[in-house]
Amino acid sequence: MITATRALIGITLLLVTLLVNAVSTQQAATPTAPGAAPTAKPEDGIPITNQTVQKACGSCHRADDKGQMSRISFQRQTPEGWQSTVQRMAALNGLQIDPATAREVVKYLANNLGLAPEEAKPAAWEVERRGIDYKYTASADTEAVCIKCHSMGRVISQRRTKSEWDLLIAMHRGWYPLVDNQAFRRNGPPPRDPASDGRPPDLRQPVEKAVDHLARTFPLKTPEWTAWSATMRPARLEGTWTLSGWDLGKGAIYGSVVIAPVTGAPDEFTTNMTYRIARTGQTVTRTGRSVVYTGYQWRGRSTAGGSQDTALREVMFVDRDWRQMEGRWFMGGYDEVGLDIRLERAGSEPRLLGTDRAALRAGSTGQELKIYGANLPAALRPADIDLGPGLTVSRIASVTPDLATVIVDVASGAAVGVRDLFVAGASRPKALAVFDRIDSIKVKPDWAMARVGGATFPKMLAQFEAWAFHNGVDGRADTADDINLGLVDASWSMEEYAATYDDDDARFVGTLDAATGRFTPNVDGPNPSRKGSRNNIGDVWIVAKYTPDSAGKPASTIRARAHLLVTVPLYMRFDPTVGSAPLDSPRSLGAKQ
Amino acid sequence: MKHLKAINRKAARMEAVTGTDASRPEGAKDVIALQQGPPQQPEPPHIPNGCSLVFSPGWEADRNGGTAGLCQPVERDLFDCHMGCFWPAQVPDQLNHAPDWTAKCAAAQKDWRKIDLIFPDEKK
Repeated sequence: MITATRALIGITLLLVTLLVNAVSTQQAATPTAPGAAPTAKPEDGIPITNQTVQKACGSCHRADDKGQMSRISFQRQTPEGWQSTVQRMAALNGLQIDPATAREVVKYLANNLGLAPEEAKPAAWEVERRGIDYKYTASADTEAVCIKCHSMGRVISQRRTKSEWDLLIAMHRGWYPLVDNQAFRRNGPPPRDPASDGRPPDLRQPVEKAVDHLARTFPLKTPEWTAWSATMRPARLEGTWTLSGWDLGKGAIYGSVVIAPVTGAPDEFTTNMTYRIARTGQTVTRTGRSVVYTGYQWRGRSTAGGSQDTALREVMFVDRDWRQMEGRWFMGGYDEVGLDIRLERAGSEPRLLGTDRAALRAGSTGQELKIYGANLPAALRPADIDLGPGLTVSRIASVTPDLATVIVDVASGAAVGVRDLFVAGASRPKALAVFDRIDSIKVKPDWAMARVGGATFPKMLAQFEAWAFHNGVDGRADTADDINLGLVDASWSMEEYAATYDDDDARFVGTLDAATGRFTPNVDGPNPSRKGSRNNIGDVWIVAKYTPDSAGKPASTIRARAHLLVTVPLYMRFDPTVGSAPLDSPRSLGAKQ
Repeated sequence: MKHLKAINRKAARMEAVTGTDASRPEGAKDVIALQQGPPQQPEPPHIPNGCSLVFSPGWEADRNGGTAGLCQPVERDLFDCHMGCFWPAQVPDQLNHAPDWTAKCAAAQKDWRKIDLIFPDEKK
């Protein structure tokens, strides 16, 4: 019934819109009748000089006498943006292109009609596929128009001329006929009251305000791009880099990456990486290959032992001094499984990356502490290691260039707080905390989403972590002086989130690994054993319970929780893979898992 | 709630959900509907990364940030979304992107497993 009603409403609205558009087009067309000279000067674009692009795109996108190709020369995008465009041309506009040519086209466009680092960085989360809660504050109308269907990241990672932004809106109207009613035009009557400054009410439709804002805020020509394109060159990244990162659910990782150039391709590299999961000591080795677009946009893919099941896509931003890069490596049906990564040139001096534990208890002795780094001296003595007041290194158990295992005594009266770490001239600020008790735990993230899948569509997993905290000197939880004591091994369980009674979501949505905090959703499709054959979707609390070790004294179990939304699949996705991923093979997300 | 006593089954269920005990200390904090004054819980997140709750009902979440109000089961509505181009970023539309999407799926109740994921380049 709802379906039929919606269809009827949809068709009615469509007809009304077409009528309104037809009328308004006629009205708009009147002042510029045929024969009237165009009043605005055509906007300057960016000439295309690459023959492959001219050949691949030129049959539709004609070049003018300056070498500017229609549409293409008047916009700038990320590699992902250009790849989306090429894929859309293939899917909807009859483009025939082989993968090698498509890769060359995307590379040329991303390099020559790309974004400057300052322009791309605010939308890094879009290409890093982070599920963040992003709020675009510069224009509420623009955000409302765009995020009705897709991420705002897709918008702020483009630059276009005013007429190109107009054409983009026209493209949406052409492919998605309902978009005017769903997003572009206002619902309800136009505003009647004057604005607060006394000006008459703004009668523009939301989409008109959005285009004005976008053309003003994200124009084709910017000082940033002019400056970057003048200095841009292939980044020379070969060498050894330290790796530090965070593998969600497993904690800190430390290691190194050797980057080697690919002969004949100044912007392509191969990688060999080895890192350890700090808490467990487990070693991971991976090999990969990458392309660096626009002089700074690293797009790679690596595997452990060549197995595609372990493939991670790598998206990183190279700093302009070629000494650091950071970003995210990810995998999963919805790119939801990932690691935060930071690489820095290793050099030859000793470097500290971190420790296996984030905190040591006051009064504990003989504690084994693993210190991860690079170029650590083989002749390391206890005197070379300064962990701060109250902490004494009694002995060094072992040293390799990237790992020193030391034995530490913590004085019973050691002040509670965070210590900086110094080893053989290298330092690591805020590396280690001293605590006397654990006051609370928190679940991170405090809100997450998963999607049912596995029958036809991929599952979207969710990973949780439990972090311990000391209340700090004010003795109160959730204040700025709380001391983060790092990950703890909590036991995990699910509880009903009481949105409606009797839906028993916790029974149906999936399973939570009691030891690791990883949630695996249930299968997609209608479930006949649920009321109304509902899918296995629902809301649950993810609960972490932890009993701190309080030096032999009895301690009570503390708990914390997070809200998990388990929801329906996406049946269509536009999130292209860039880099060494082949353009010709859609990712095998439809495969059974 | 301490002055009220549950006298029917629904009230008893409410008590069970909102009651505070040692194993579930959050208790009554979970009931947000009737609380007065400033919000007692943090504002629910605004659903990220292209996820949408703005059409009614939303795709991933309803207007309260939960799943209770979603069109369920989703397969019941897929054909309409497909043909009507109603969820353009979530469901392949018949008009342009995937005219044959449901060709293998004559009856959604039975054949929903045969619907494939669509990528922009799949029509090649």
